[in-house]
Amino acid sequence: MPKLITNLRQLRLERGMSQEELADLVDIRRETILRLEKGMYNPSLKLAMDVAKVFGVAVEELFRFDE
Amino acid sequence: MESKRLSLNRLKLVSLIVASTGSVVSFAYCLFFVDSLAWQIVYIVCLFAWVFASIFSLVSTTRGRVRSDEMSRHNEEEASSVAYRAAQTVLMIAVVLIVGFGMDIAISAPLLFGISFLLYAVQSGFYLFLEKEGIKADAKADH
Repeated sequence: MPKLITNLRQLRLERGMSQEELADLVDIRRETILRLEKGMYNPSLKLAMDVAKVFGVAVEELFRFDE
Repeated sequence: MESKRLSLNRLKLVSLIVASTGSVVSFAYCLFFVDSLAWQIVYIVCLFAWVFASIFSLVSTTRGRVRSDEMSRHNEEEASSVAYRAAQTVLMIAVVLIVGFGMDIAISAPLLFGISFLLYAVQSGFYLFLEKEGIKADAKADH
């Protein structure tokens, strides 16, 4: 199974945002942000788009699969 | 506002404690015929706690009072799937024992409650296991 790679943590830190703040913005739990940053959770398209919208980037810039 | 909502993990932990206790108490009666006053008290307490936890869980979840998201719902679906397969296995074993081996198994209330408690414990326990697995992996990845 291809591994999910993300630069979510990097983008979040660049904007000085905590995991809690990001979780509140996209209405999910902090634990989900944690696992998203580690590439351990495959998000739904809606969640991926919501997170990408917060950072003003395209979904492909935020998430990709290591194939 | 967000933090005032009840944690689904806490609700599942309470469910697991109630279900595990209920399961042990019910099977103690079925297998070892334990029927003391203390047993009856624990049995009744577990039954009421189970009904209360089930109704409270249903009402809180449908009214959005429980803090959950798509990952917790995904874990809950996985756990329900495991509980469903466990239910199929229990029924299959019962059918084999009754039909295949001709065993005379009395379907009593404690037996039914015991099986229900056990499946409830499997569901809650597996959900907590999935949540904990992720947390453990997060901690490992941090080092």
